Amino acid sequence: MADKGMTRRGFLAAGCVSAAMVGLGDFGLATQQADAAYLRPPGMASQADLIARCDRCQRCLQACPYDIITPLSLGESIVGYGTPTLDFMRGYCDFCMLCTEACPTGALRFGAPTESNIGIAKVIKDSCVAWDWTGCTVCKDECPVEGAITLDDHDRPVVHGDLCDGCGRCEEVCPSASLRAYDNTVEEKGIVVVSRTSVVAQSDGPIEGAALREGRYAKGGEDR
Amino acid sequence: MKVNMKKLRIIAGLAVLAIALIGFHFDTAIGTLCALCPVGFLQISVASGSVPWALLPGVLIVLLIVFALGRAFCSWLCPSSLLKNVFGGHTPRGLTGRTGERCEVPEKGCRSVVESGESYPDVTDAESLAPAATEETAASRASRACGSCSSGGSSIASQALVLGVLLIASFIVKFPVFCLICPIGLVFGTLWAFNRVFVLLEPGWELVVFPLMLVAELFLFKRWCSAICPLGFFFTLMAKARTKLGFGLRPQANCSTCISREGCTTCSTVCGENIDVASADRLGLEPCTMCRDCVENCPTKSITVSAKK
Repeated sequence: MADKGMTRRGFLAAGCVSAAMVGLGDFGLATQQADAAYLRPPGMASQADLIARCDRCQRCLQACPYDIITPLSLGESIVGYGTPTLDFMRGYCDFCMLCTEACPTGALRFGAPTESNIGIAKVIKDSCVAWDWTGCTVCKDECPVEGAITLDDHDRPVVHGDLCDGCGRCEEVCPSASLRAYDNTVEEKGIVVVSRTSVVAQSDGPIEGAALREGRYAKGGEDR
Repeated sequence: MKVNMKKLRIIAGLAVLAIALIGFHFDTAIGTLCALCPVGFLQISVASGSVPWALLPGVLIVLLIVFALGRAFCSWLCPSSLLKNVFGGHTPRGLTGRTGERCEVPEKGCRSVVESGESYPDVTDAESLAPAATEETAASRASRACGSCSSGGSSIASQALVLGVLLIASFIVKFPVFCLICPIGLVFGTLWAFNRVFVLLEPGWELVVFPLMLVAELFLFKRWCSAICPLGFFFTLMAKARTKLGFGLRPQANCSTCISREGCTTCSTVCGENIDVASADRLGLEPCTMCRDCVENCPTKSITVSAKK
């Protein structure tokens, strides 16, 4: 009985794996993880489109000259595991588009709405040192887009959403973590770039750290 | 000049991982094996509703290579085989069944009994015997081989089942489902997780979860490669095409020196796919992954890998 058709063990094994895949798929549907608002490299058409097309080959991550692309970790998203996301700890995006050029599947592609705008910077009130003392203007000084960050009457940074392209330079250089090293309740940098489809991106002006932790990746708006 | 095939295979497997890391650290988009995956190509097509044409050339090249060289990818380049080579994944049973009984060996190829006693027939002789004899061999193989002894042979059906389910699932949930459990992807995922620890100093759950999943898939599901791997489905298709056309490299025993008639079962014992090279025809060699363990271990050095009949 073994040679024609399937062996019983082969069938059982295939059944187990099929069940696991269907389970994973259902989990993905139920949790709607595919729509979560992660910060993606330029060239993403929409969150769901990227997750459908990305084959997790990591060519974008290899191509990035600044090494700011990192695979989305399993702890953050099961459905989106291994898809590219941005981390501005060591660099920022200058829209060189090498990642989009490298993408073989069209998950990142030219002509997509994020090609020149990947997100928006949000000032975090309880982390930004300019809200306690005046003097720190690092984000405004370093911002490569003229007028995207200005200072208000109290010399606190204000992000202009219509100009900010989410490049991440402000987040990279923000010194609040080291300036506030004495206070370990502060978890974020003073300015953080978020996806424009996230809940926190929908409100104007600076936000609290708690709001960021709650609504950073939750979907709150349409893909542009 | 003793060359240990297993060591060579481990080096080849490590080279694949090294190339991926080199790509990252020198900013060249070489990609991982995932960029060449026929399963990934199909999954993305059904999940996104559009065909990623840019993937197609790489996929076709892989299939052509498999057509020419057989399933050499599986033992030489596949990261899951790397793990099996390093940690000893399979326990080849050869001609001994699961319960320890000795399976009946089809008496053909170098195992065919020579009545004259004088000249040993070589493979061509055995194949050109009578058409009835060749037909009989395939059928008798099925009937003689007891269930627990049967070699991987026609596991293509269960691989096709997995492929079908994963394509339907990918279509419904709109993302490539199999990529989450694919052992090849898991090895690369572990690699990136390590990279993340050392480059970004951010340890992730992947470091624990992925190795556990790999252990479960490769070492508990011993038949993962032959019965489940949907990539293997395409490779088996290619192998079947090779059989049909009588084309391509394969290990062949030289019957003038082969001592299988005297009871030697070395080739089938060392073979990860339980192939008895001494008696196997093209059909029997379909699961062969060109690991060259039989070539290395044959006590009389009777096995060579060549394309000729």
